[in-house]
Amino acid sequence: MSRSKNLAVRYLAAAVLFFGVMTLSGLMSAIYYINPDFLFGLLHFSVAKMLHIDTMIIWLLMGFMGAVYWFLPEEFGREPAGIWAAELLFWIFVAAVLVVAAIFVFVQWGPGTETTLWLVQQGRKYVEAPRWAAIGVALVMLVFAWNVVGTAVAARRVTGVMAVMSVNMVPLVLLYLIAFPKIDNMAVDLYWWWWLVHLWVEATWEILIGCIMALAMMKLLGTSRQIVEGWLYIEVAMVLGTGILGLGHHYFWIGTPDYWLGIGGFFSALEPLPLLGMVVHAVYDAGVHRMQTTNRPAFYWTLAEAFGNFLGGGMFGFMITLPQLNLFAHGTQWTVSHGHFAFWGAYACGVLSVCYIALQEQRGLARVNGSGWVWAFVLLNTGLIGMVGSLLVAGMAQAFFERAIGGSTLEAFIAGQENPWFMLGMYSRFGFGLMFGAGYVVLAFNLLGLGRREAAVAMKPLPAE
Amino acid sequence: MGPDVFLLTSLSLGFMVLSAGAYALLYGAARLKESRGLLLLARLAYATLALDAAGLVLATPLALAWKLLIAASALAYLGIPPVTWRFLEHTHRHEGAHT
Repeated sequence: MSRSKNLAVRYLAAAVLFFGVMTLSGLMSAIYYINPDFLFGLLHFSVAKMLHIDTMIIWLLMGFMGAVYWFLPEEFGREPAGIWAAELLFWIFVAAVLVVAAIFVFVQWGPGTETTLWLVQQGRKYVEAPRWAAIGVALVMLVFAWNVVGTAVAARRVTGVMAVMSVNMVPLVLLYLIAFPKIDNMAVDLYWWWWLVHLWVEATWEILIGCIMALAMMKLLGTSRQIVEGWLYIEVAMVLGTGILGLGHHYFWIGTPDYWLGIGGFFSALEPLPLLGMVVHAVYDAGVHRMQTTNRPAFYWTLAEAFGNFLGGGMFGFMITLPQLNLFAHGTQWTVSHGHFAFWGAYACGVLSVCYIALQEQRGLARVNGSGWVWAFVLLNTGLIGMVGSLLVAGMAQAFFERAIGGSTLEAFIAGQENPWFMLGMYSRFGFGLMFGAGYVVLAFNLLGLGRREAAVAMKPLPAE
Repeated sequence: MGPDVFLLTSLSLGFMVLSAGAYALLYGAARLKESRGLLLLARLAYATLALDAAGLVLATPLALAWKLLIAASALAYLGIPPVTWRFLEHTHRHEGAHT
């Protein structure tokens, strides 16, 4: 295997490892809601939550990078430019994530000084990592961009998918720089912070996963380049058309001018439209190929991506995106429900699909099948749907009792938190979280052991006749 | 907007997109299997969507601009599955002609 593919497997393995950390810290965060005394004095809820959302960003980012390093040599017929730097940075990246996680758990916070910003944490959700680590992430992104763009330049040719990916590297690197400034005015800080969170996630990441899934579809189903590139261009147009100004839905109620209510509501409401086309495409592919492929887990995870994105991003988002309704639902567990489902559908399923594609080739498997992946698929998806359903119930209770009836007073907040429907949602979320956790364990074992049993059987000497 | 109306409006919006998904799924399945029964079910799913959208436009206190957006979205949902399907068939036919 090429150096790039070896690096890809390392990145995908690290992604699955941090997926586990995310799941564990998510389960811990869920416990605080049903037992507020949990780890009292040892680990605050905010730290567990920080670990949960930061490792979510990291594992998906590593998954994307692994996927890109996997497909790069196939696209250009050569090793990526600067592969040595990428190989070196991989270990530094993993070590830095582990050190930051240790700082979060054991140091947790510090006084409001520059030293804290540099060494402990920056205190901005999703990008809490201390500055030294944030500089490291920026460096990793820069080398990643060099690997992609530099390879195209060195190969003196570029495919449509790689052209889109190369252009996408510019905002991917630049937008991350918003993680650095320290802005004292909270409204101004949030205004720019959402550029990083929303535009990274709903613009550059959408395009990146679109490119990755385009390459995966060619590999998995043998779909022609012309078709996947045609769809990719449509997706890019849709993302640019709806996703960028959809940013406005995060600008509700944070001190921005009123016109953002109209802009955010309008463009967010358009976001489900392209996702409907994706559902039709998934049905077409599944039907034309009669669900037959040499890699069933990868194919099923691809289908889960299409449907999960539609339901999590489209349906769950549309319920709360119009400003008149968002006024009540903003920042409740309803939003959390939408966030979990949308991230799972839009990104996680795609990364898991690529994991199976890479392992099939790495382990020389003619077919990938068995029952392990089915258990993982069912447990993870049922657990996730159960979790988001529970969060939806809890969020509706909050929006109804605390906001719409109680008028968002402190008393109403407490009443909302103690409401039986809210508590039912929290208990139920934890139960389904355990199911999701069990799914993760099965997935990890399945990925580790994929093809090993077949190889062991093949290597076993035949009995003498 | 009162608490009950808020919850009902929000659920109706979610149901509208869910119906659109059901319509797309059934439409695709109907075209694949060339089944009139499935096509009828797809139309029923769209009818549910249209009724839901009509309810949102006529019976909720949403601002006029959002009602217009909901009506326009309901119409767009009607066209997306057939247009996408035709595009898919066209590109795959085109691919076949080249191979």
